[in-house]
Amino acid sequence: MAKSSGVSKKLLAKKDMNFFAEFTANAAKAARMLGYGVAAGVLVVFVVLAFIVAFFIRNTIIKGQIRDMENLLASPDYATLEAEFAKLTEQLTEMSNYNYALTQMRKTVDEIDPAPTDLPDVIANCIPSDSYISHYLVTSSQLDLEGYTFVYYSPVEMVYMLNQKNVFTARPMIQTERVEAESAGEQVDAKTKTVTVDIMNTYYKFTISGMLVSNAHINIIRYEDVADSAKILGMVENKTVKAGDSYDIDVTNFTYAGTEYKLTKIYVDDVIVDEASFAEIVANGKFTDVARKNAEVKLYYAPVTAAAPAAQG
Amino acid sequence: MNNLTAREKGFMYVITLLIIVVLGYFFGIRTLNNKYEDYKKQLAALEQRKAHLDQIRANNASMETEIKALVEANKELELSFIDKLESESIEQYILKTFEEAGCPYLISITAIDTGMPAVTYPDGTNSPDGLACLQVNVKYSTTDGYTVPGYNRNPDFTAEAENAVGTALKMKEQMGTEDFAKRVGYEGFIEAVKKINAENKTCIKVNSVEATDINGHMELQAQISFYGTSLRNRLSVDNSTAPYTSWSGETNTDTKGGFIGFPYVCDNKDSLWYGVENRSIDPKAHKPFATYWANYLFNQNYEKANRSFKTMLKFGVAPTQPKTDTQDTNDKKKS
Repeated sequence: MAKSSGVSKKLLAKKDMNFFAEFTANAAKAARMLGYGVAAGVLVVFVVLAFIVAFFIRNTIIKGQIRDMENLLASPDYATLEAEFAKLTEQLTEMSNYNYALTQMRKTVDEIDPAPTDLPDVIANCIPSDSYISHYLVTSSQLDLEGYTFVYYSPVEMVYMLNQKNVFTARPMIQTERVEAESAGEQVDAKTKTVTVDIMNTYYKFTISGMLVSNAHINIIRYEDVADSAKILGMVENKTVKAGDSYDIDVTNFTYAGTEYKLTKIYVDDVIVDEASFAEIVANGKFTDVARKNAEVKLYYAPVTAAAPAAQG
Repeated sequence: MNNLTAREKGFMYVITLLIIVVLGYFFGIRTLNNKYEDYKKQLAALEQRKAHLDQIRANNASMETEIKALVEANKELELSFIDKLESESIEQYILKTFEEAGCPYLISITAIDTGMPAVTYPDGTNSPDGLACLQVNVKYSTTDGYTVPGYNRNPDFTAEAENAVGTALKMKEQMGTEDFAKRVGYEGFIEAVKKINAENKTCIKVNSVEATDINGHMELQAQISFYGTSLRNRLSVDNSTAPYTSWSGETNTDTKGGFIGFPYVCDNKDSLWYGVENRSIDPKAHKPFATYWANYLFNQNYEKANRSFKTMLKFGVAPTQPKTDTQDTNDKKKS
């Protein structure tokens, strides 16, 4: 038993011992490595799972936010806003058009000045004692007088007195002519054959005709300066100014229905205001003119900010 | 599995781990991440929509303010016109104003509708709402400072008057004296046009005033325009009770004696025309209903009655009773 196949049993035992020791050490190392591997694997899986869980939670949170937002947008506070917007837009257009129609009617009536009913009293106080008025006609813009006088200075004195009272806006027409004996002014009594008008004195027929001091009416309309748009912005304005006086119109930027507008051009009685004058008007923030006659001022404004966003689906 | 070496097992383990990681990434992390991106976009879109709706809310508020302002302005504009132009109310108002001012001697009054221009919108279409104008032309006379004037049964010479002849005789003596010695009407006319012009400056306008000296008296004319509207959807309610917007005249007019067609002499006792002879008749005019001989006799009788229908018709004379045969015999015996 001491020797087997020429190899010493002792040596064999030693080699076995070494082998087992090495085997055991390798096994331990392998087990340790396996442990590390498993731990690393678990860690990786955990990390992956952690990411998945975290992302899931993140998605759940954002889904919650989406749901909350959807609920909010579906709430009565928001759900009807677009329908309301469409309805209000239609209503605003309708009201603007109605306002335009009414102001145009108002303008038509306002432009008709009434006849100055105080003028007959003024005339009565300006008739010289050598004269009388046989006919007068007072309209809103015109005064026609007819009368007779013994002195041919009287008609001009009468016009002078009327001018002192600021009756005429321009030089009136004055016509004076001697009444001939056989003219219609002479009345002959059919029975007595005598002339009924004083035949001892020459007398004259006079006619005075003149334009009266009147008002000018300025119609101001603001339009949206957008292609294919005839939208009126805000209310139409009518100004009544005494003929010859100056007037101002505010032309600064303004906000209408949530949109800011900026002046782009001006038309006065369909004639565009030239660039230099326009620049000056914009710099001053007001349009100034003298009221010589009735006028229509059209102010065109372009939106500065984007117009109200269109309804989205 | 038991036949695999440790290396192989380790390799398998690594492969399995890789597969888990890859699957975890592709089916877990990446999918969730992609979804998250989608959710983010969705949330962003929703937030953008919310912002858009918030902007619309602000615009709506602004539009509501504009509409409110326009409604108020439109109501005010509507009320600046006469709601309903009624010619009878307007003429009644004008006649009353002139009479109360001391100018009652009416020559004529006419109310006509005047066409007004249609309103055209900036886009070229016509507005369904329109302006209306009623133009009233009045012509009055002054007195001449001598002759006795009269208007509206004042003084009363009709059948209802107690002593029409007595009144006429009394007034005849006053001609050219006292009140009849004044030229009445001009001052009142001017006062009336002034009053009408100041009544409602936005919708009543005196267009012209004219005075003409004629035959010792004066003819006074005025043209007055009343402006109203014809509106499809009126916003305001006009509660005006002004005399030119609502009827302010008589509401209990006696209609008992009114009649249609004037005979030769009015025999309607309920009428103030009772006993008045029709002066506008031409007795020789063709009578399409009459026989030729009757027509001839009519003219003859008219001439015999001294051209008086009253005499011809024995108006006011009690009809004689037809005589009986006995009376007739007695009469013959007496004769």
